[in-house]
Amino acid sequence: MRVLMVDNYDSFTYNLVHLLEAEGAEVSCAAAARVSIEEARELAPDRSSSPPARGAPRGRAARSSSSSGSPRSAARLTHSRPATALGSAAAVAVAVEAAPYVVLDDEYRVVETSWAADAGVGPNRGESLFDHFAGSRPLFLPYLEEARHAGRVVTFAQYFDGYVAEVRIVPGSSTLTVVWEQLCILDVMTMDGLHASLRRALDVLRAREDALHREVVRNRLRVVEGGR
Amino acid sequence: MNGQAFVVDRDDQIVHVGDANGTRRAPYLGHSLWTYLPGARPLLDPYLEAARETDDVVESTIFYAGGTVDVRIAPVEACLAVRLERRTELDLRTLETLAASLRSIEAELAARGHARRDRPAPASPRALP
Repeated sequence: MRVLMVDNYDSFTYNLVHLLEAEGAEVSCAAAARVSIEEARELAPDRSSSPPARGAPRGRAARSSSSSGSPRSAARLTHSRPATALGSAAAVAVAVEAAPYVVLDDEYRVVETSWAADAGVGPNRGESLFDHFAGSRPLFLPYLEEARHAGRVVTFAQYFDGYVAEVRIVPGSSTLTVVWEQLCILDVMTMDGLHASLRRALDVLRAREDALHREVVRNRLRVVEGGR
Repeated sequence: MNGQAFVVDRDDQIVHVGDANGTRRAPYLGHSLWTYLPGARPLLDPYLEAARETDDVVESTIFYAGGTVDVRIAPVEACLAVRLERRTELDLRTLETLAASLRSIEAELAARGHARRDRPAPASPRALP
């Protein structure tokens, strides 16, 4: 069986690749940003599968039940959009969903979620994001308002509910799309694990904040240089 | 974890489970205690050994799975009854709430004479905002 794995930059992709190979599949892997429908057609894969993307933020209870502390969803089988474009029932591509995101209306209510975010946020569609994530308002509202009022993408790193994530807020005409990438997660099983992971989380947070700050400075310099 | 109770044999295999674990006992019986308490072995092993050696009840408070847990280990014939009761939980929401709850937990563990450290780690609450 030939399988095309479209890698959308999730570490779980390769877990699935190894499992499929162990079952005798011939797996080709291609980066999502680079593979075209034509290239997928040339590979003529036989099966379609969509593994989970990075976990959406979940409640403490859900995380505590996992020995690894890392939320994971089961893989699901699906006929993806590339498969339809290939136009063959037998030859379909593997699609991996992009990073989790939610779309918020002007009252910060959740109006849309990606599949990757659905488990965590989907049941609260129609409710305020801040009601769902208690305590998140002071951490996220300034960035949401900045994106809305300035009408530009705002990117920042933030700790919340056991995770450090890089968050990108993309303003639309009347909505805000919030995309996040989980950078690290606290290990709360033991005090040693907690201290080690907290050290790592603070390092990641500082490093990412520094990188984002440098990027802002670079962008401002480009504007200044372009204006000369 | 509230009120979870197991009876384990000399090899830490579960031979009986308490009512708080639910009515479905089959998934536990015959399995290692550590299957259901991942990462807890180095924390609890000394207390299990002490209870076996002294044939007396051992009680302690440990940090496990996001908070403090009262542990009571009682010898029952050739086995040990292990009871776990959640005391407090970390508040993970923000760095401020995490720092405050971690300070409180460390103080609680220290007061009970079970602090696992006597020096502040680089990631102690004092390093947090």
